[in-house]
Amino acid sequence: MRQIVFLKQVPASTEVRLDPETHTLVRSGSKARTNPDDLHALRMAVEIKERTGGSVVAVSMGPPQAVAVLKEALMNGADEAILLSDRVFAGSDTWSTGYVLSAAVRKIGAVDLLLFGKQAIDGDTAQVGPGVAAQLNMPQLTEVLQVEEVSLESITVLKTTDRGTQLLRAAYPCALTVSKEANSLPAPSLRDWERSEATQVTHWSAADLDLDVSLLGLSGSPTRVVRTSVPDERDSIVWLNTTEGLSSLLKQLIS
Amino acid sequence: MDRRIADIIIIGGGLLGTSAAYHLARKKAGKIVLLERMDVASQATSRAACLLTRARTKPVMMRLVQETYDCIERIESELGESLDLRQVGSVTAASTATSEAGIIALEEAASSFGIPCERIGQEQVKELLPWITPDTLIRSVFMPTDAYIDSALLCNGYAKAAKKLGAEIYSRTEVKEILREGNEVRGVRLANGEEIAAPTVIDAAGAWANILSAPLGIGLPMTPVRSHFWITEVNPGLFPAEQPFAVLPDARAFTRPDVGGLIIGIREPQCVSYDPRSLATSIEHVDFTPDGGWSVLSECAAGFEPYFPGIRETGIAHYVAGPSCYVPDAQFVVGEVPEIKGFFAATGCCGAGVAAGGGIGRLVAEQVLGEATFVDSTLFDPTRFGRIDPFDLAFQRRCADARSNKKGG
Repeated sequence: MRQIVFLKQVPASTEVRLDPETHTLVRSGSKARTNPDDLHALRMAVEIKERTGGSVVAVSMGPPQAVAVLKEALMNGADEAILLSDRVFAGSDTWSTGYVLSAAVRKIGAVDLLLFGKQAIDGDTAQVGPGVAAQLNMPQLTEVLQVEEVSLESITVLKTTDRGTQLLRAAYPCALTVSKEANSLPAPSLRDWERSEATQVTHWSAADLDLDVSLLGLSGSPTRVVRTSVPDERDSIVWLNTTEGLSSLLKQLIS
Repeated sequence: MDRRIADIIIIGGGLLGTSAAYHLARKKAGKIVLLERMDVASQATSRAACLLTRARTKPVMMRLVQETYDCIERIESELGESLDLRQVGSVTAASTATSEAGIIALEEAASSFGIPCERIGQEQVKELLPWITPDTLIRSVFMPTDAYIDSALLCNGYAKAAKKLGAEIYSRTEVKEILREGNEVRGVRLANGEEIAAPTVIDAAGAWANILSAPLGIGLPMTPVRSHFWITEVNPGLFPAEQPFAVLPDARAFTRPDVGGLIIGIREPQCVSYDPRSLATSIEHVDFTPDGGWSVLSECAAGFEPYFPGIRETGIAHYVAGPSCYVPDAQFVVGEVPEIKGFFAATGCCGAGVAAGGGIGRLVAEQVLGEATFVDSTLFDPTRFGRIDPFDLAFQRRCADARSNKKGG
């Protein structure tokens, strides 16, 4: 059983800046963290590994400093880690990102499960997981809450839908997207950290993945962000600094 | 409220500033204005380990700590609310002859000051601290009246009690400059340009105290030094919430219960000092240990392992690091700076802001009012090192060494 978990480095700050020219997120200079949903996807993979055996490969695409995400993945149970980093990847939209990640899956070779966080807290698109599944022509089980059954042949999961939950089974290879409700994250130990320090992260560039460069980066991305805007000043918000203010507002609203 | 004129301005809403405000307000020292750039108790105070260790080899320290205990009791009755003092007791345990001598000295100090202290054997240590392997211990003592307290609750307690007694406390109010006229202090200028006049200014800005005093030509003999601890995952069987805190000098470590997890503080052999200018305006934005404390834990774990062989396998839920202001002789910086009349310092907590803060606040209040001080204040004289440059790297190293060479908790 071989699983790949994809993790993204996202800004740790809530002060997100947009590049006025490219309309993409400015990532340099801000503190970074691992996208929370992705850590839950990793946890799910580790729990599956505990039941079926096999190995978990962590993959991240991003600038060189995204290696921190992979170190965290190694500390939290991944066996191997691969960083996909190349200047030509910069500015890739969700489709282009999916193209790069799919190429990485092909290069890794035989794989049973792909796991993604449901969405990233910076872009909030929830497109990359399903996009990779589509590009690789794999079934996808999105918003997985729980693994009901897992064997070496198939996986049965409970997933969220708009109206409730669904129980779905898929044969391998297939892709899952996972959100925070799926599990809780145990605290890593010093031993986990020491093991992660002893593990080398593999680096792959565009050349290693045999990619069509014209499909990469800002120019290769089909998405065109025409305009971005920051919501207007919050004129409609009234700050209630005192309980008196709150109670008089409530009285006003009730009457 | 007209805050343009005050009798006493205190800069800094940490433990020392709020405690000073409380004591001055109790003494009806006039109009007291405390100015805090961020929020009360939000900076180094919020990262403290919070041990209130009573027994000390320096008698002055025991009196300062006792004053903190007295403050807690008084503030609870003045406010009619609990500050949640956790009287769990403490265990101090030695595995080497050097530390054994230290414990004997502590026992003598405790007995001279009337602090209950009993010698306990390995089995009793194990009963009190279920996680410990006591095999190497040669001398252990239990002090049942020792306690710890949430530092933010304590700090807010000083602030609330001070307010109740008439002090004015302004958070989100940044002092840009201490104003002087000739050799006398005359107030402060805020970041928004507003000026507040006062004949007395107490610099209790902790890690940032020197940034404010430097333009006056005054270097306070201290610098921020990294202080830190780890909090394990919750495991109430191993780490009961009501266990005593522990001091293990041979491991350079202390432990403290924390809602079913264990707080473990281990001093690294070479402590890290900071230039105060590198701390920006709030510690929130400072990465004290870029790898989340793992490499330093890895470096320090070996010394702790004989007491807790599970240290490497135990989940570490949190790493907490912050700046403690250390002084080369590991004593505080409290008192008037003679070059500028009316300019007082109350800083350089040396990792004891929680334990001694109540006493330091009382001491500086007595100094400001020209009263006889309840402890010998010359020990804490801001000028005792002569002229020093707190921005000099070699001086900052001396401050870090004070922490590196610290004994006990």
